[in-house]
Amino acid sequence: MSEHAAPKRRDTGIDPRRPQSDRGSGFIASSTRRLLRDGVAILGAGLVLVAIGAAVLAPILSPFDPAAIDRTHRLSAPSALYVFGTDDLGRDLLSRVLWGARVSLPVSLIAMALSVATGVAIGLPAGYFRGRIEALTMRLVDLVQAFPGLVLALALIAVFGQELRILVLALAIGRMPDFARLARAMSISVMAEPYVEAARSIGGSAPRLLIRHVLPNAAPPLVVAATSALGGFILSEAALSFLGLGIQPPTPSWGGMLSAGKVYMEVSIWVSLWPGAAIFLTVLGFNLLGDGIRDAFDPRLRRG
Amino acid sequence: MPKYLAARLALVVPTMMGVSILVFFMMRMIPGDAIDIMNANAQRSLDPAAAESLRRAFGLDRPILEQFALWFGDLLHGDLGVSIVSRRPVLEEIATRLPATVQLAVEALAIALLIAIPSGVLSATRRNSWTDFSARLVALLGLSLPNFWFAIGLIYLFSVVLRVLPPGGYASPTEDFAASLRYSLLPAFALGTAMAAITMRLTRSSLLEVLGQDYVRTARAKGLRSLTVTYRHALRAALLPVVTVVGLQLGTLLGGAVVIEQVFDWPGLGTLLLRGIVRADYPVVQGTVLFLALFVVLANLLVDLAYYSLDPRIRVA
Repeated sequence: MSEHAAPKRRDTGIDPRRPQSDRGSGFIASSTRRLLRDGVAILGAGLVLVAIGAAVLAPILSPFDPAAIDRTHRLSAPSALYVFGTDDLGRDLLSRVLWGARVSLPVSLIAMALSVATGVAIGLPAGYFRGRIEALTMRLVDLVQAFPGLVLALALIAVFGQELRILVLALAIGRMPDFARLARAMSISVMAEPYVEAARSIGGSAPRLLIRHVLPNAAPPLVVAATSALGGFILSEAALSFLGLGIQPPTPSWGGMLSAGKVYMEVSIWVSLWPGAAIFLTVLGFNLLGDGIRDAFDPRLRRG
Repeated sequence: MPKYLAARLALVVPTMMGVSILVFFMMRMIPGDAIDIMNANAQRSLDPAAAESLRRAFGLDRPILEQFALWFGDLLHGDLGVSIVSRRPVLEEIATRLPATVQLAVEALAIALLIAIPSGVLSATRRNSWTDFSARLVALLGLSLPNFWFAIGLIYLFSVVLRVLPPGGYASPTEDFAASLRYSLLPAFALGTAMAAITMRLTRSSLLEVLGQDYVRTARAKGLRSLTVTYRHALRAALLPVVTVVGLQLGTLLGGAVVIEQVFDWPGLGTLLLRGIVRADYPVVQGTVLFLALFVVLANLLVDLAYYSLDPRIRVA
């Protein structure tokens, strides 16, 4: 395949045919422009906006009360009245999917924020102080990472009970190691910069250096990693709810609806179809957006 | 033994100890002990004297540090305790279910690699072609797919509509290989999808990077056939990061197995763990979580050792 012999041309995101004068020179400005030209990322953002819209507007958009039971229309197929059909209790599936977004999205977002915050709180000082503090905290991170996927979350829920805040905590701890490692790596590389040495030499204290210099410079990669990870948080929450250990009925959650619907698969596939599609499209949206942001902000990882 | 290997092996022991300490104390934070929970679930609660004697039998009346010392001492002898619900040794419970989970994980891994590596290579060598775009699209979809939803879809298609594969259940491969394969096909496929997607993306990007390197250009310049260059020179180097990530993903695969086993009524470790959680059977949950974590630690060790033997640069460093 001869095309590989040709030198690789790197897409700089700058079209030489267009005038350059109106372009800002900032990294964030140019990256954002690159992001906005990325059709796939825009599609991802669109899916994410639909999911957020569903969550925010569920009370207005829902044709029915998500908990209202209609015994005469149990497991009915989609119709003019019930656009998505109904579940085994005759509850409207469209309304329940919309209300499900109101639970899944905030739970995943808060868990992600908590996960990043914990990771940063562990990783930044580890990279700053090195030595014993680093060895100790990073061993702790290794320890958490030794637990496979959902297993740590399952164990935490088993111990502390099936509560919403435990669920958020369990999701957050499971992914904390990724952010801690990234924050540590960023901290180490920022610490090598001359301006940090300058700040230190004029007597800047450790907390001040960490917050004023290291954190802002470590932030962009962390934001990128967090966006890419959000899809995973949504999937994990849905999986735990599917297993009956996440969000508890009667609160409608996508994972819980799926597991309730599985039994009625032969009679009515609708009950499992819609909540799964909602999870899939939301996660896809975050993954597309995450890929797009990563590509736009890290030119070395340009796709294609 | 080289220093690197010794250091790497020395790290395994404290990690394993840390894991066991964490698991033990986590399980002991449950309000009420297993006897309380048995009482709450039973039709007729035990009389206080019987409950006390049960507590004594399981060592639940001793100080927590003593309980840990006892448990840890037993652990070192390979004794994980006795299930409070079934009264069988936990190690025995794990041993009966381990083959099913191993079978599921191995098949899922095989399916994932069989899909991911050829399509990743194809994608990289025909970069920006339609093959590349469609392979990447499928990978991205696979990455976003909730495996339990995909599993339900597979059951619906192959068991309800087409009626060619069973919707769930298990047969041991040593007793009836054909039946075992039929039972495991759908769960293994559902479990392997996410890993296939991750591995495909990684194979593609890793191979693309290697194909741009000087030694690949040299190999081409000296007139080697394109296929020889791709497979003999580039792919070998490109698969190094793939080995690492596949190894690191084994934990995620096991976590996914917990969910997939549930969907397909697969009698593996995931089912054991979930039942233990629901019934607050401490020793079972402890044993299973510990076992799974130790498995991940060992898998990571193996990955590092494989890397060590594949990449001569590490030996120098």
